[in-house]
Amino acid sequence: MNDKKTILIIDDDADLVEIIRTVLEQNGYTVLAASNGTEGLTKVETQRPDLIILDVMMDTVTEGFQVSYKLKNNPKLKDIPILMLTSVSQHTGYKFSKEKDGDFIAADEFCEKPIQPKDLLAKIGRLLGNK
Amino acid sequence: MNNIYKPYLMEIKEIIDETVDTRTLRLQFRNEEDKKRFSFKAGQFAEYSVFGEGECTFCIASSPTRMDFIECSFKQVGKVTNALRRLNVGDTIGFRGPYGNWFPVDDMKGKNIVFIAGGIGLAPVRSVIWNVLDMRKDFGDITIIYGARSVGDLVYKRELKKWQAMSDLKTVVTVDPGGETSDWKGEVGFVPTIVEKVAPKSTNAVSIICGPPIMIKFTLPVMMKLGFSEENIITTLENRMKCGLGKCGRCNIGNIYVCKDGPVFRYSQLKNLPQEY
Repeated sequence: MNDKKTILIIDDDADLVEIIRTVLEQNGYTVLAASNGTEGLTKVETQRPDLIILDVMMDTVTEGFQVSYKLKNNPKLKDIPILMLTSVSQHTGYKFSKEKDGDFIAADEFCEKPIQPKDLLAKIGRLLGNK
Repeated sequence: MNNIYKPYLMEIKEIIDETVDTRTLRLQFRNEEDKKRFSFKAGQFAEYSVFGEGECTFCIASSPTRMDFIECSFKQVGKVTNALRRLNVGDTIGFRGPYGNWFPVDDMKGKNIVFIAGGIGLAPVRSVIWNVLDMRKDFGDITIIYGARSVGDLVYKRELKKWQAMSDLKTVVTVDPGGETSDWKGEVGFVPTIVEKVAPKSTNAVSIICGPPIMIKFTLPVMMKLGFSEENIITTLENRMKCGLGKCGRCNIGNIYVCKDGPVFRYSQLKNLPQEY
């Protein structure tokens, strides 16, 4: 059982945020949310979550990459694990994975939407366990 | 009977260091008759050999409209590219090719062309850019969007400056956030975002995209949003090719061979293939 870890979801899809929030809260996590990168960065600085779930395509198609870059290049914040989430494969058919894309993007884990709750929880558990 | 694996002998005439680990070789045929017989089209590739070390596959980075020399650009990543890196001007290498299909330059005539490249992915695109620029009046508007991780990772810097100075095309160069230097005057941002910002028009347009898979993955939704059809988005693959002749079977994706059926593909073809590239 986790010790009430806080997870920040940065995603412009309000419905998805609510679904993930429900899943995470039911599993004992405290959930924060931001609907764009700027708001997300502010919340990371002020509320210091234990983990960030970060969408890629928001106001711009690579907004999540920029947020991730800023976080991983901030010595005070770079240790917060980032789980990057994207629906790009639904748009293009191309899969997104740590193996293929991890060299280019500063994130700790990747997953594609839609994600099953058990897979999401497993990835979160691994990332928090690795801290 | 001709030996299909026998390479032409090429002399290294010039070496250009593009980045810390990426180099361009300018090559000339040792045999004048070979030179006269040889022809290729933009997008085709070849096998380059260092004797006693092995062969590796690169696209032909020079343009078929400039046949005085053949150029290839490579990143130092393994045994053969390390050996290539040790060679000097005047040394001889083997060259087999050209192989594969090519960019549909003739079909692109009369259209607006959008070139998008990332990193060393500019090499095959450079071939077709010069091809098109050398026949400039046959094409409509030309836009080049090129990006790399950092200023130091940009290849063909001299040509980028030339293209930026030309009045009949638009060239936008970007580096990833954090990759800029204090004197950098280009864009800062990932290629897909810069494409979104430049927003080239899709009307009567063809786009050629080449770069790391992640760049292509996130540029495609932008292109589709801009109205480019899957038929008019063209890319080139280089994965796992070895023989170049469709014999070794290393480059197959599903039922196609990249070396024989490609390396140039339309997005409409690629999206129906298994996700192995």
